[in-house]
Amino acid sequence: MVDSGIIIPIEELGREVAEDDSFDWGKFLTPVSNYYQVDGQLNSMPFNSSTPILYYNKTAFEEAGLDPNDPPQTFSELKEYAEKLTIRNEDGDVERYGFTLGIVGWFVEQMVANQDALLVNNNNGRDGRATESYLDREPAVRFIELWKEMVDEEIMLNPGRGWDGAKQAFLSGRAAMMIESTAQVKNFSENAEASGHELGTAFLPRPEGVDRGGVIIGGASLWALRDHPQEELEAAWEFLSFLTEEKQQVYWFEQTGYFPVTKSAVENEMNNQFFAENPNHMTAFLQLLLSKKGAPTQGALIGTFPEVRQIVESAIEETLQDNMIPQEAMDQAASQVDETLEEYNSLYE
Amino acid sequence: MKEQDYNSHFLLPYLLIIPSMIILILFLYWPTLKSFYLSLYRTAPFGSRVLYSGLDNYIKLFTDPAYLDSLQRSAVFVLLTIFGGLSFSLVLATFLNKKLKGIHIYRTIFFIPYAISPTVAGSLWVFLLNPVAGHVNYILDFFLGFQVPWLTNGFFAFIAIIIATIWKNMGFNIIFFLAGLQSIPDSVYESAKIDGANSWQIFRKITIPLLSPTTFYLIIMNILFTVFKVFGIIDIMTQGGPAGATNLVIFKLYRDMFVNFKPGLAAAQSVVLLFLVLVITFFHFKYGSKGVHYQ
Repeated sequence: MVDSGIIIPIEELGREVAEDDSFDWGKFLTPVSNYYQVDGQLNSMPFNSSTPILYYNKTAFEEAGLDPNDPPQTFSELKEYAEKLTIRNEDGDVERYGFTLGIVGWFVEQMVANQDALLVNNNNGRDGRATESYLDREPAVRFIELWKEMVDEEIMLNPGRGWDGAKQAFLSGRAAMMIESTAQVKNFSENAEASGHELGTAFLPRPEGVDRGGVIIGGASLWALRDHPQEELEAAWEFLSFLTEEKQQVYWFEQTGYFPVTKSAVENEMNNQFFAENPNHMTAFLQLLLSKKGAPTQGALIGTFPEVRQIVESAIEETLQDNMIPQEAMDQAASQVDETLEEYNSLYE
Repeated sequence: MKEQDYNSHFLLPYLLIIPSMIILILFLYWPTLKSFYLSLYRTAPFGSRVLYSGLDNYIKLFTDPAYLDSLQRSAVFVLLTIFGGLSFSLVLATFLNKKLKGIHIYRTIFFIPYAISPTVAGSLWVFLLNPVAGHVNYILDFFLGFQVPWLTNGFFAFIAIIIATIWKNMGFNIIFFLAGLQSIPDSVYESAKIDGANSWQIFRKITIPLLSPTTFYLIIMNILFTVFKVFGIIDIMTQGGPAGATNLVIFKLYRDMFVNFKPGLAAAQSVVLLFLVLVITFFHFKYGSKGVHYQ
């Protein structure tokens, strides 16, 4: 987006085009403004943020003899819990899987950041254009290995590519744990209430003995296009700044689970006890605040992100179908990503 | 009778075709020319940089194993879908040609899949084949005691796409076969029966040859359907996955253009497709009619 030259950085829009001096640029939470900043300037207007969290069915935990207030924190705990949560019928068919996860490239990026590791070189593309992918390194590969092991042992359901299959499995009780965006907190809580079990949330698990990095911001920010008449740009600015006001931010947060991007909205929720009464709304938020600051959790800057995600998803499918072992599939994915980066970069030389 | 003075009207025919020419030029000829042009360039996302690259896009395409694989899969897909689809539709059409009570209702039911949008059709199949809540696996498990990883295994996903496409185009094929069947005079069947032919012989020696103009037309239409219109179904059902198993040419083209933002590469693919269609059409019209029996 930044390379294309068709967008106008939001800071330029506010300060120079709309000449709005009253807007407080410091109102955003630091991890949020970090992610959308390039060359020290805010490029797009943060709107709602999300990070992935582990959702689990507390009622299923109790049935399996697990402590519902002690969710898995490491890869091996995740596996161990999933084994205990899996229920098979007398034919050996799985009735309930311990865990499920849709094939979505974003999860791999998050798992890499959670190990405080980079996705691409040049400090995740922040110090210069990324030219080499680190998908073939241990942080990414060991997550794919865990994924494959759990699917092979039939303690994890492979619902295919995308978000819906896994969500359906978790909501219908066919899987006891899953990783999803915090945007689902409200939806999942209502569903859990309706079907009579209790919902738990936790931070993303990570491998044993690895330093905790953190999560990268997901969610949405709003962009403005250059080359529009002055009055349209001013109207765009007015709308964008309206969306960052406290009232709008709080409403959106309580209705979805995407968390607010401004400090005042968070303060408001703290004071009116919303967090205390809705602890699951708090998880994603805390996870982000406790994330280490640095390039790994700032997220990678890659011009060909949509393609990279597909390459990763395809690699996961190759391993799950036994066409390749994880290391092999990720080696191939890394070299494919390198090619796309090379081609993309050559357009801007 | 007064003789027509054609010369005084010489502008009229041109005026009459102008509306359709405008549409054809705008939506067909111009984009086709533009594809040729684009395929010689490399373009940055949103078009901020355009670099001339000669035949690089074509070279890249034909040295890309994923593209060659996609071509091959598409060919297998087209063959299986057309063979399966046409045979199945012909069998159904012969049943629907019987004089039964309420036959019109049955005919309408079989035509419905053709009338719904590919998006809806794809979603219906996703529901049916869903590994968790799908009816197909439930029924398989209940009666036969096993489940099939329909959309998460490459082989089965390919089969699933074929089934969905056959089902989707069935209505169209049946209607044409029905029309063809009804144009075969009863007297031909009667004399065959008098000569002592059994029903298989009648079907094999009379129905199939006399239907050949219809079949010929349907084959061409089905090639176009299965190469181009399958996009909607793939997009909803598998997104070209798992691991590229259903990444047919039309879906790869879409993805390179609208997901990966590579207009040059996508344009080169559409030029390749254009040539393939030209070749298929040419061969069909030149040689295909030899085996066709026109009454």
